[in-house]
Amino acid sequence: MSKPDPYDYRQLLQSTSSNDLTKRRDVLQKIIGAMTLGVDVSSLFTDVVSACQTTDIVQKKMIYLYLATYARKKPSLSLLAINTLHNDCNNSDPMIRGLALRSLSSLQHPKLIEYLPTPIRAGLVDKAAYVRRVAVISTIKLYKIKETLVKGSDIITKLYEMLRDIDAQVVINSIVALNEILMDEGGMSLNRQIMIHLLNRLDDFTEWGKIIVLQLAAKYAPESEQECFDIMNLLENSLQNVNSALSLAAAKVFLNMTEDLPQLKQQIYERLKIPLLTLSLGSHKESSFSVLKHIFLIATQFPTIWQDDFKKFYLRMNDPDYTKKIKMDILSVLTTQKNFKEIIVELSHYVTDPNNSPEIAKYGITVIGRITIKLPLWTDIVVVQLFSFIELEISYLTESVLSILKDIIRIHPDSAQEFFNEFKRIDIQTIKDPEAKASLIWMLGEFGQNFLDAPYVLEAFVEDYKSEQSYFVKIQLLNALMKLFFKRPPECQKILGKLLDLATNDFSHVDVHDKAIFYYRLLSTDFEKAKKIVLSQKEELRNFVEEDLTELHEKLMFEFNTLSVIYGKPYDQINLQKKKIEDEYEDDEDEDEDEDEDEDENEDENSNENENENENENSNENSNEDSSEDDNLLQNQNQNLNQNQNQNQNQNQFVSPTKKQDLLGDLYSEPPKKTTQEHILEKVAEINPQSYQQKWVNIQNQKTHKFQLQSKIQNKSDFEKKLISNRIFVMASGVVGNQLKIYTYSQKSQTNYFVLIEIIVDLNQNFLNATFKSEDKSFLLLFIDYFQKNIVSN
Amino acid sequence: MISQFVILSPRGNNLILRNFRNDIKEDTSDIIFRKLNFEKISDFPPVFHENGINYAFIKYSELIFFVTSRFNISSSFLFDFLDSILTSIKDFCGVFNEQTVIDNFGLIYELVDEMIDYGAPQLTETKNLKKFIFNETKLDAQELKNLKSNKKAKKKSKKSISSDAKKTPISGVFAGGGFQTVEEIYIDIIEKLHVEFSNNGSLISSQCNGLVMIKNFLSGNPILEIGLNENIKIGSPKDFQYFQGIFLEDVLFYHKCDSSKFEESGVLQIIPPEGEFILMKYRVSETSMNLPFQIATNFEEFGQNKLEIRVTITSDFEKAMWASNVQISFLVPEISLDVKCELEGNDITQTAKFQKQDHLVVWKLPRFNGEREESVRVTLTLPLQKKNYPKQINAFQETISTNTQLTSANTLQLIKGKIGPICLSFDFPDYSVLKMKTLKTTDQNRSYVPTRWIREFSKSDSYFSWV
Repeated sequence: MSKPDPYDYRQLLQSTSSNDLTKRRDVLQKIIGAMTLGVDVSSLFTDVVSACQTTDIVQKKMIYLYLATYARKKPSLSLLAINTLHNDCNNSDPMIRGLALRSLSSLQHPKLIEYLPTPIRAGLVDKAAYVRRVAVISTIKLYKIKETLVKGSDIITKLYEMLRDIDAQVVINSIVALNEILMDEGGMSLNRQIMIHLLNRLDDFTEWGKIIVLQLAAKYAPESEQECFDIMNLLENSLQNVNSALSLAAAKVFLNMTEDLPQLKQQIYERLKIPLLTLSLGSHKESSFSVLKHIFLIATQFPTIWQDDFKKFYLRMNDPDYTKKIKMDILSVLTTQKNFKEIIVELSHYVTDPNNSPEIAKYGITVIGRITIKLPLWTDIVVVQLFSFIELEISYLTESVLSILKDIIRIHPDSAQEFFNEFKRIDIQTIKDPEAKASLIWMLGEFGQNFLDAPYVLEAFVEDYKSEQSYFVKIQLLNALMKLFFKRPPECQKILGKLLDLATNDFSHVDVHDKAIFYYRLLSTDFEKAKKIVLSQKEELRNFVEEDLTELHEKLMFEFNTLSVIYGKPYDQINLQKKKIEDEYEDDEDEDEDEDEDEDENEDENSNENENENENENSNENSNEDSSEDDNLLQNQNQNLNQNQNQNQNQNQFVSPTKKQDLLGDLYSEPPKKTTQEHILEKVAEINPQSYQQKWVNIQNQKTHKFQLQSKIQNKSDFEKKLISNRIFVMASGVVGNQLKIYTYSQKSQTNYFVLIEIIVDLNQNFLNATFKSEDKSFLLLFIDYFQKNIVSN
Repeated sequence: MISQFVILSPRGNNLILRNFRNDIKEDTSDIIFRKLNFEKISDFPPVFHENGINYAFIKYSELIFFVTSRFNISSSFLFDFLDSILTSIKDFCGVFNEQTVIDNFGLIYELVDEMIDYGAPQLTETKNLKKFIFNETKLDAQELKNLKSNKKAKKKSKKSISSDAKKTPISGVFAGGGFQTVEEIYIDIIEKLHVEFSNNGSLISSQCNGLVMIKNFLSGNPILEIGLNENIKIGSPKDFQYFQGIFLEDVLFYHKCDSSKFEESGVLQIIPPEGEFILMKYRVSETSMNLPFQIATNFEEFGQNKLEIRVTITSDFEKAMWASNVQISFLVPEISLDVKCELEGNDITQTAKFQKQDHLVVWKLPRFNGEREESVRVTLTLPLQKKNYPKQINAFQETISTNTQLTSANTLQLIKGKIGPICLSFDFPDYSVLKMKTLKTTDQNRSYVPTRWIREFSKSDSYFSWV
């Protein structure tokens, strides 16, 4: 399949006689192959459509596949196909009737409004089950083309009738169709009769069909407790099934049925416990992962059910990292006073096991911290255990320990003394992670009165102030020294003076600067008042925001057996953009209809822009606001301490929900970018305009991407500077109307390969359209990634 | 509701791309490929959300299979469905790798089109699909040769042939001029052992997860009656104090399997679907489980900077039996200057080596007989003294470094903390808790005796000891 050229295929297609089955199949297969690879073979449309007049079903299938892919692009030509397909819908062979109807309904051509309803209606009452199955699904497609053709028509009634079809798959497809067509009304309407009819036929259905029926059953409210038991008895087999999707679907019915019967809840959970456990231990790591996520969710509601089985969730050597994490989460929920020590010992093994990735080791420490906060009985033992990790002198372990100790100490201030006793073992110079540093500094400021060396440790940080990159560490340092100053003035005065001097002259970050000035004024106005403010008594901490997830988990229980459980968030929070995107598609489809046979894509784009121009003003204002929010988010990335400082509160408002649940999610945000290490591009690159043009024409490896810019481009030269600082050099640029056009070039490091980009920025909409061309094909994706990271999202 | 089904090559090319609902414009292959190759996360989660699209993928023989959806559907459904598509393709193509996908993509499109219509799952059982599939399976010369040699191998040793070796397409075995159907059935009982010992050799946890997998190549609609062990109880041993048989904590069945007589007589009845499927999954209770191997580790210090690790494996099963491909491996600290491995017995088939680049000690025994004890001695030479801190910035730092002079007891503890767990891996043919006792096939229309390939074996699945 090297270098396919549509023209060759046309010749092949025309030269092969339609009687030579093998050869013709071969040609068609090549065309489909090229299509799959992403080569545009739509220019062959006429030839392929005319090849459709064959009786060979293999060819027909391939042609139908081709039509379904390209009909949208060639609306005028696809009329030809419609005729052929329409005829095939009346073929004597039921398989051809079915295939033709399936393809016809997939064409998405406006003319279909005329052509489609008749064959669908005929298909719904076809003798052959195969055709009926296809016809039922086709009603959804018809609905998508024009809602009124289906909604409120006799098709709905027909579909309800077909719930009693003799063919099991027709029944299932009818449910699927009704659910989608009536989605606004909450899907297919359900009464006792239909429900019982479907449940009685359960054994006829495929496992996927059963799942669909069980999804319906989950919505069904039984009339009596007896009926509820009857249904659950019927589903016993489905629950005990090797197919985890079926088993979870049955579990959901059990959970929903007993929603109002709290006395049964415990019993139901007991019933689910064993099969879910078996499925979670299965050999397919992906589906085990999905079941484990559900076990975690149920365990947050009823921790007792798997408490005796906690060892089943011990990690295996060959578990992938995502499985290891969810297993540790489950362990943290299952920890009780009885198994506390066993679990902590096991988790400690995971931290020190050199086979585990740093990510897993660090997660182990986080989970140990989480358990300790939950069950504070053995804090002293845990602290000793945590110190044993520091002794291993692995810097990421030390850093994790420091971060987690801070949380433990906030809840159990008594542990502070132990911490300072062990403190001498820490080699401060190895701590690089800003969060760990900040955590350490906070502890010194908060409890430094009992630790002789505290001012001098802080002094070491002040000495290093200028090389400190993280603004957050600097702010913590200011806070800590202020606090310690009021506790131990003589030792701290000089150090604090030095720090304030450094920080007030530090313009790298406005918050650091402001805070330093604020403290400085506070001190110079009224010493006693300042002391009162800085050392104000804090409320005792009982729970972290992170721990208070009960509400979230209750919400997730309503979305049991959906992706929300995997993501750990209600779906409407994940899918914020969904609405927007769907709208976009609708727009698109409308346009297709309006234009009818107009193929000109350029015009398409233009009209789109005009439409949007009216809204531009509004969206610009919004985007400015957005971008300032984004800034705050970025700044907060390295920040996990939800300090009780007034000043920080402002920022915390913008901390995304994920950050707030940090104890459950990734502890670590992305480390700062390393720009010095082996840059992917040459520092200097030279190319003259002629060869640029030549290259532009000659390079075949190209990709076009559309990016949404985070912030508005204020002026052209700044943007160009940004490009150049990222080793993307400008060949030519200019502004036309509201479009900024830039041609750039870069050279892949240590090679002679160039990468060229044509950048078109829509200044109003903040869209950046870029066509990348790379002489080295393998480099293209990497470069696009680099471009996105450094130019678009920065 | 599935939007797309895609098979992606290891280089990120689409081998198969089927859009069912045309509601996705994004280059999803590109997105998934970049997530898997350029993100810093090791083991990228197999399901994720981006820009309103949900992705679920599985990897199989270097290829990435994925589906996308705009709906908040069940993740287990996505994975199980992906698996069933994969199984069908395997059934129809026999072998499965990038080349077969390329050679048979017409066939695969046919299959996928019958299995999914506008995103809704349709019939996926091989038997139902067969009627609608017209493309013939294409195998290249090498694979045909493999097929034939497999057939020869089967004749040689009946017992050891695995159903993995059965790579015949469902349409039959290529014999001379055309495909010829063979009446065969393969039944595998596979038990995976997950065992965790503490550093003093005591058992922390043990699990035995089993499954019965069938590959059915019988024509017609025969009824299959499988008789497993008769003395089985499902549930906790606490509930049946005087019962002497096998305890299973749980059993799950294929959805069309009749298991009503299972607890009473160990018999399962089913009209098996064609091709590959899992008949049952089970968990053996800890009390009914046997541990074939014990692991013991001893440490001894020599001189100032030498540490000897002695690993002993004891087999606890009948003398006449043996496990194969036994391998013991563990990580040693990166700071070790020298690592020497010494075998204690004089069995020349064994090897023990230190793989320097991975800091891994690997000890291999091609065959481990019952009632035996084997050991290896690994000597680590460690750097003599702990390095001083490079720079001391003030008086305070000085106190740190003087205080952390380590005593020798501490050193051993520290070094032990950096030695990885002792991992044991093995295959163990004919070793399983559940056994196949009887197998009957009855076909109302004819009487025949199909070829039956039955295999029972255990496999290690994370069998290790902490140190």
